[in-house]
Amino acid sequence: MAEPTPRVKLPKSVEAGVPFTVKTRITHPMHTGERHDSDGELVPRRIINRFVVSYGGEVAIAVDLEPAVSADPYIQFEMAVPESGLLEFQWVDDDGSVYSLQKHVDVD
Amino acid sequence: MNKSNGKGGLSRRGFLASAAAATTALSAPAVLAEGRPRVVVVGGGAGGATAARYIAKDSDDAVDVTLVEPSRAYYTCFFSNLYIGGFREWASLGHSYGALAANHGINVVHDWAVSVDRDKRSVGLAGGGSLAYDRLVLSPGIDFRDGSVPGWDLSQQNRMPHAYKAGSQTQLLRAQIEAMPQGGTYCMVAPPNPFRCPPGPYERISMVAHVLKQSNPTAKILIADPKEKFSKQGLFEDGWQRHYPGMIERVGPDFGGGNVEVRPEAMEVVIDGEATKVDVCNVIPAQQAGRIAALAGITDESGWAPIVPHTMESRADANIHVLGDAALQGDMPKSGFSANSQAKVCAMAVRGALTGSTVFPPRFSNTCWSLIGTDDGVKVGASYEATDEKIAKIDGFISQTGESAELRKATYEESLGWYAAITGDLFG
Repeated sequence: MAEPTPRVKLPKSVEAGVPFTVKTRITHPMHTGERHDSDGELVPRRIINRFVVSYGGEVAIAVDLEPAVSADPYIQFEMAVPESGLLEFQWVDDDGSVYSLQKHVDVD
Repeated sequence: MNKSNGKGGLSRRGFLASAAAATTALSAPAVLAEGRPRVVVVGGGAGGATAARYIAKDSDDAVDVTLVEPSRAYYTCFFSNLYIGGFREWASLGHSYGALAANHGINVVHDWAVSVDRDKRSVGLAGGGSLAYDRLVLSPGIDFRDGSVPGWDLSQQNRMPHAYKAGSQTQLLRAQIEAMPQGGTYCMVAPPNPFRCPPGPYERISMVAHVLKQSNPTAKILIADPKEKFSKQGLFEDGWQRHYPGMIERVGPDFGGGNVEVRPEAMEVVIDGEATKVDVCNVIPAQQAGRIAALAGITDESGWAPIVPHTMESRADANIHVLGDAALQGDMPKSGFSANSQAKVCAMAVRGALTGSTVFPPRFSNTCWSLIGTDDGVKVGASYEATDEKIAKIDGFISQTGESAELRKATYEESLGWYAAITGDLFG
């Protein structure tokens, strides 16, 4: 399969201490392990099982995902930061791969 | 009603008014006395070819019909995605105008219409000369809006093909997809509404995925899309998940899909400020009515040509009818099926105006079939009526997710039958 592509959308700028919306998505088939392919073969489970966002090296949000989550998991949340800094996003695959992305938050 | 003088007879004023009305009513058929009325049709696609054929066929030679179309062989835009997916041979999409000339006495002129003189009622041709008309039918399809995708213009169409008018562009796009490196990226810049064939870009994505799944399974498909939603979205997304899991990423406006720039020299697509290197870039720009409609002065600020739904007459000029993609008509999608349906209404109205034949209340219909994978066909369609304001939808239908493989196969086979029927209706 194609390499999963992570994507993050942040506001262009934010205010210190004021919550803003973070939208994230990664392309991933999220095979549940329960489905069969067109030849009748069971497709082995392969999902994104964990999603972690760190700010300045500290975990801001961590999510455990289960097989019932749809393909291309989309996760949106709100957060606030005291000053400009680096957000790091990580998606952990069942096969051990970790897909990551970094985004700078600019505080006005 | 004429105004009466109260004694059962006509007043002088009432008599004059009714005499004037009678003169007006007679003036159209009076054209007959000057010889056969002349109809010029510009554009030999689904709208124009149908209109030319039905006016000529049903008027029994009472109307002189000229069809102006630059191409000698017409390749249908509908089903051209199936060529990209390997489900159709290129030659099967090509049709000649021979039968329209030989069987229906239509004068087929292979030239570009470059001007319309509405006062003199004549159409100028690129090759010189002009064609006089009593009624003009414009069915010019689409042109692209300059500047709608920053970095792209027509001079870049060989590096970044649109393939949204069938022909060499379609063949070029397929060749580029076949030449992609293993694990490469195909990107489509999808158009904003309204545009030709609403499910077309997404059927194309399905066909590209079908090809890549076999020849290049680690390849990626990226869609930059300015629209929140698209036609048959649930059906396509369900199908993509079943047939091509993990291969297709659609970046909608929530992730910056409406903020796109392309760099043809570097083969880069910039989405919301972030550049991505791609191997094939299929740019489908924003669209407007084919240029001749604007040159005729019958388009509005939307770039499309408003029409009267009962007759498909231009709202700007009752001697001009506009069909298909170019028309601003209301609820019908821009499709070959719609153009064919509108053309029959137009043909009836034109014959009525020029020969006095009966004109019935119009009914329109449309169906758009799409192929998602082998034998996995879906459709959406509706019937429509003319109101004073627009062509208005009456009722519709759409395929459902979870349909059986047999039903999907039957839907695909229905589309093959439709293709044979409509091309016969256009060019037979």
